Amino acid sequence: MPTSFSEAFTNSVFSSEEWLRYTRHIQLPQFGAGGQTRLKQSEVLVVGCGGLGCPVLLYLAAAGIGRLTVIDGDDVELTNLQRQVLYTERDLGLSKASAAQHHLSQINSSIEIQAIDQAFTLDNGEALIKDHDLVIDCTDNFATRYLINDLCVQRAKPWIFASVYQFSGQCALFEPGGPCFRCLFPRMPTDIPDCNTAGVIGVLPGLVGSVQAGEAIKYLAGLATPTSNSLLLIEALDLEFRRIQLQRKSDCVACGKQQSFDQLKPDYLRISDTALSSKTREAMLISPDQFNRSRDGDQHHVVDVRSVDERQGFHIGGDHIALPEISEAILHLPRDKTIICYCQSGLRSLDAAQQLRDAGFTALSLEGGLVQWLQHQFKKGLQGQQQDAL
Amino acid sequence: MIKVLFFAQLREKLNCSQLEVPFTKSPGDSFTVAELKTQLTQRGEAWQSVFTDKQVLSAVNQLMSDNETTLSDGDEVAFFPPVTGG
Repeated sequence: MPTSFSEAFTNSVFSSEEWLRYTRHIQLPQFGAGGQTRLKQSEVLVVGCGGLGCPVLLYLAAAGIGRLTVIDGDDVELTNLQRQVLYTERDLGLSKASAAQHHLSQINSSIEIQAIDQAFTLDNGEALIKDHDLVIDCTDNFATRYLINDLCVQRAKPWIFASVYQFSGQCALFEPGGPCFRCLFPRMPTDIPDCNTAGVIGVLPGLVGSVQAGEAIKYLAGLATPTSNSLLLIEALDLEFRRIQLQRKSDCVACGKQQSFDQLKPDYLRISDTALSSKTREAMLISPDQFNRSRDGDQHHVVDVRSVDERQGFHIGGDHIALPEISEAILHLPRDKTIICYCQSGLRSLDAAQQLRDAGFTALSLEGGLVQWLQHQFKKGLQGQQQDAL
Repeated sequence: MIKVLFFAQLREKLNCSQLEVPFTKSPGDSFTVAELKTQLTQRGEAWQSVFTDKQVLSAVNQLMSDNETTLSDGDEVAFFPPVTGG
């Protein structure tokens, strides 16, 4: 007896709409219906939905991964929109994971997407990794990457690492039984600048995240993945790529014979150190709110320590003395006032304030720099508008 | 000659993306990554700080290496640091 159309649909892996939607994948000889079926049956965990997470999620959702889980504890901020292409201005202040889920479900309503508005930690990480086939690391710090690595080694799950800095990126696929992230980076790196302090060209996480998404889709569909057990080095400025073959270390603390998971725990708690101890640093900081109040009186002298280009681009007043010139300018600064230094993100101003303190001044540094001050002003403006509306 | 490549922050710190150094080896001696690093540190202050930093990794002919890895004439050595943003 011939099968009716409706019966045929209920016996199929894909709905008629899905079959049409994924035509371009199914037509690929290396991919075919088999590859697309494997994507539909896959469950992928994406840790972090910032610069890397946005392109990764966009492509995984569009490709038809059956179940996607996205976890991130941060909210969408104005500084994110330069590169985090999943979000719109209307998402400002909303949880990233939930906002991502909202947009992704509009791209593909036939897949399951779960959002977790929390940071990925030792407490929630183990159950999440156990529950997925592949983990994609779109975080911005080494502590979380070590945690992902160690949990994946324990649970024999594959994961894809990627990171970006200014114009450079790195990507590697770690498979069970192969070299792990700790074989590559045995000790937690310190003093490595992240995007918040060093900047990143907006398209770079797009480039690196697309490599990551491509490797994930190929891996799940059963195609070759050149980043397996290899580290891809990406230079966006010179458009150069190099692939380094990784080697398993027999003395690796995570995947070697001497593995001891409990001893590794302190790594997840470590935060990046700076040259100054946190106590000294705290005493030198002035919050955006205190900074605003300080400008009412004449007890303070404000100094912008950024470059000439930055000064011309935007400033909030005060003297302009670029950091490299600060030691020469000391003679002209008023000794009877508190000097408040500011820069873009609060690092150079801290350096300047320290130099001035060493020269006998009372000096402070605007916490989080212009970026945090501007965010503070925008938030105040928003609250003001809301109060006016009431 | 040994072809030396630099990646990520190292390019900015050294203001150099690649260079060639003469393969210097007395007969019977080995020339290692550690010796190459020592030679590079002599190029100036920035080089000194990069190549005494234990976090900087190396690969010889696109295979991860360590300080003890021996080099042959014509090898390519890549130096790269950990990159953390996302």
